[in-house]
Amino acid sequence: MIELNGITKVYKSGRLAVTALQPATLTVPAGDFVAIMGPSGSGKSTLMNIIGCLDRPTNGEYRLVGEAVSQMNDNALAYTRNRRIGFIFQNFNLLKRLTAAQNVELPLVYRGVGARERNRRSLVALESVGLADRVTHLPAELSGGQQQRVAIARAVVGEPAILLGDEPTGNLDSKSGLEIIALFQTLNEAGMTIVLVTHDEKVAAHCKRVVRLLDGSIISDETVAQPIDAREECRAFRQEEEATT
Amino acid sequence: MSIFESIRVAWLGIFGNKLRSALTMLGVIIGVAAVIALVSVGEGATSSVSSQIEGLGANLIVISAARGSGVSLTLADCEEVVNRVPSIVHAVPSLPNSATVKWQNTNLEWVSIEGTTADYLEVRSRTLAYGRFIDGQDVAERGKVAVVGQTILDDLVSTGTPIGQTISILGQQFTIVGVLAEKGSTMGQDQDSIVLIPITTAQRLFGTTTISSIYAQAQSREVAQLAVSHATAVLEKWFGKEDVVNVQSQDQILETLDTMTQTLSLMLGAIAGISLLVGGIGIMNIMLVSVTERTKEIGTRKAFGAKKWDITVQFLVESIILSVSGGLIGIIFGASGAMVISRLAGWNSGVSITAILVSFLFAASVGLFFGVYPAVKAASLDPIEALRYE
Repeated sequence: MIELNGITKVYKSGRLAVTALQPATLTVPAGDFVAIMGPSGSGKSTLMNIIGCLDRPTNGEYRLVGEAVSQMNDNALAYTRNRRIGFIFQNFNLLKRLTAAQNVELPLVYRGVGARERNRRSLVALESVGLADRVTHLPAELSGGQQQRVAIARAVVGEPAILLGDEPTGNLDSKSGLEIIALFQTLNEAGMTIVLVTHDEKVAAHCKRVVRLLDGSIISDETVAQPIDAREECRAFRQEEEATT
Repeated sequence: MSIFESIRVAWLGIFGNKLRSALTMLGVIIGVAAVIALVSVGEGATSSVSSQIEGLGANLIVISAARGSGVSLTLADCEEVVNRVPSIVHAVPSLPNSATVKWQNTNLEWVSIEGTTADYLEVRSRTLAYGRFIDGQDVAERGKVAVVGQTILDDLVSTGTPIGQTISILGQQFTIVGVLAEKGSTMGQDQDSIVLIPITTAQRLFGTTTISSIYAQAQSREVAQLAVSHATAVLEKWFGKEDVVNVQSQDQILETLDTMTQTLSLMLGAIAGISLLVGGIGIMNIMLVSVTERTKEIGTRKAFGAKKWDITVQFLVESIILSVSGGLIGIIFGASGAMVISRLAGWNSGVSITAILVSFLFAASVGLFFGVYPAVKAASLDPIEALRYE
């Protein structure tokens, strides 16, 4: 699904050249659930921007679903982001003047899907994240966890090849965060390839595989022996709440 | 993304900031309204004045003494013009003045009194409602007769048949012999508030031997210009020196007036055009603010597949919607303003269609022109930077 081969990234500012990414090679097969970890400045954001087709590598080859992304022009990159990638951001990045359904429609708008079909698909996507009753709400009228679920609906509505999350639980309380991770696990079980960038070990413990970066290099790539099931944790959480009330 | 989608997205942007959008539009509204109102008023004034000058008489030539020449026109000069210039068919002397007119116990102040001769009706394109006009005998005998306009009748001689009534001008008794058919106003002057008396009587009444101008009628419009130069030559020979008289045909007067009013209209239009330009700069200013404010939105749209072109069109459509709707509202205000003014001034001129088209197209292109820079700026934002923007 994702094939990174000797990818480097060098930022030039004036005479100074900063290497953000040493030659990195990484393969993510379809159906994988990867956490990319590392302290700030380790190059994980750069790696994610390249995987997300927001940025081009300085050197090396990147193939996404067999297509050579590293050779694409701006318009082709926009097309690839639109069809192949679903972004989920730490700050949700919902358009505040649009309703939940209109936000979810966004990738379909740039794909040229007709209004009626867009609406139908956005309702299906919102239902799948459990927000069928919040369709006409504005982001400001939703809780953080609900906003992130709208964002996930927006990311999956176009049926992309991969979901790309940038600290998706970073702005949420632990319960909402757990619910979001549970949603990712459900999507992954249904076959979705997911890559999350995080510095939270608890989040990483729910993934199938953890890739660690330090100073622009991949220092480890390990399979998680027993990923924690967030849905069971959620259930336990709820029982605990019921017990106390 | 289809253009329909772009309009929908732009519309959301405009409605998301109603007050700001309205204020931005106001610049264009005022500009367009000003162009339409000012140009319409200018055109209305021009056409109104032109038609009034044409209404003064057919193929009219006005002769007056040149200012500072030391020459005064007399009745003899008038005779000379008719006799020596074949292309001039009639010439009537004019000696206008104003005085208080009295009838029984009623006074009417500041009435226009004009001394003239028998050909007045012909030259000035007037007709009689009833009675008779001043004739050659009245002029020769300094007859105490008067032909009055309808307003004089309405305001002064209110009862009985006007013919045969006696009015008093500067203590002299005049008998009304005829009544002029109504004509209305010319350049703010009521053409029916007038008392016509024989020129000779007028000269004695006002204590002068001169006349102020000669109204001559050329045979046709085509020979009017010839008549002007001929009359000038005749009078210069008559007086024995050059540049003593001003001779102007109606066409010349119209031309002079046209140049004047056109310059005026152009000036008014230019001033209004500048305000339209200022409105355009207002649009650009607000669009730039809007681009900065929506940096994150632009980044998000790009992350989900918006191409540069999509973002450009979104912001361009927004500024065009602002300028076009501002233009439409401006047309409504400008046109109604122009109509109110022309009605108040009593012109039967409408709203300038040219001004509407030109100012609207100008407003739309102002929106396009001043929208391009902010739109391109928005489209060329780096998605990574834009997503990081707080």
